[in-house]
Amino acid sequence: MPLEIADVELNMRLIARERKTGIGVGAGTSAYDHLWSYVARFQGGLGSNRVGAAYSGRHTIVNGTPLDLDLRSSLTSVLDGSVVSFPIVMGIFVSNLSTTSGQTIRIGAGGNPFISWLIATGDGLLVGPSGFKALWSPIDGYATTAATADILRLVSDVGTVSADVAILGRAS
Amino acid sequence: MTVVGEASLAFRVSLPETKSGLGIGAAGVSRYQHVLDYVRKYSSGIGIERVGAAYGVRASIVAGTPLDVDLANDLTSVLDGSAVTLPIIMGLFIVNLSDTPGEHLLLGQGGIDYEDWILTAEDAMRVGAGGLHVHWDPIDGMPTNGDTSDILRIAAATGTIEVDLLVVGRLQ
Repeated sequence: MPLEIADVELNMRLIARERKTGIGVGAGTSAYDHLWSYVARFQGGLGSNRVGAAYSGRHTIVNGTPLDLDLRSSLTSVLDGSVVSFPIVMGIFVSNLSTTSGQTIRIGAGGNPFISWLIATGDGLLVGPSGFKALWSPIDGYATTAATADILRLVSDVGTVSADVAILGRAS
Repeated sequence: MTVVGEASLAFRVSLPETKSGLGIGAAGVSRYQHVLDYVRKYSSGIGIERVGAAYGVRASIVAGTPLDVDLANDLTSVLDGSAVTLPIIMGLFIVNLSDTPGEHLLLGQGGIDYEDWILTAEDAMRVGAGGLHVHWDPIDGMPTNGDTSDILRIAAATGTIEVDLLVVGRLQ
């Protein structure tokens, strides 16, 4: 029996409270909550808004030795060791666990890069220490191409950095 | 001048992976829960892991007419209309509110490109329909450079796309 994914939950929320005293009459404090939230649930399966494959792991990345995650052949299930393949990537979530200034993780570039989430080959993003990166595309997703465009590269700028990585996707 | 007080972030990605028939006996169902949590609270102020300014907006972006957010000059507080300047960006939070396939956002590029969150100048990425992009960098932050590197461009690939944007940062 194949692996099954069900009941996927994404819950993301940021609140930043802005305050100012002395607006209008009186000395009271005015406040405004900047709220950004994204809460959604998804079922397993194929097609738009369905999740069919998942990988998560904690990795150690040494400066000078990039971590290359092959999205079509090298990732395996913790349950049975079978290959977890992502013809379509729906989400990439990376948490940089370092707390040391300058220990940035670079995502992208490298050989045979997974490129469809970017504009051009060689493009990529930075994730600073204690930082977090989330990219989510549940409808169209981001297509990979086996052997030629399926490598998600993570590079440590300085020293050795630990990172939590989660990838969600589906077969079609 | 307004100030940003406390800020909190909570991100959770959670999904179970199941498989039956592992080991002895075919009736049992094995289960593994993929979880990636990121929960933090921040105080106001300057310096690492402190939040000093925030700006949020819901915008409608028409294909061919990009939204250029000037992070150093144009933003104003909803409380008193004072300028919100973000010399150091700590976070970019973007939701693509479209649910139409193909209506993705292009994030980056443009004139006077804000580029400290990407690998090299003119890098850019896609945020799919119904998707999101979160970039959080609380320690080092991502500096802007007034008048030379302070424009965050968001473009619609096609049609007219609603987007929620929240930018969080500090003075130094």
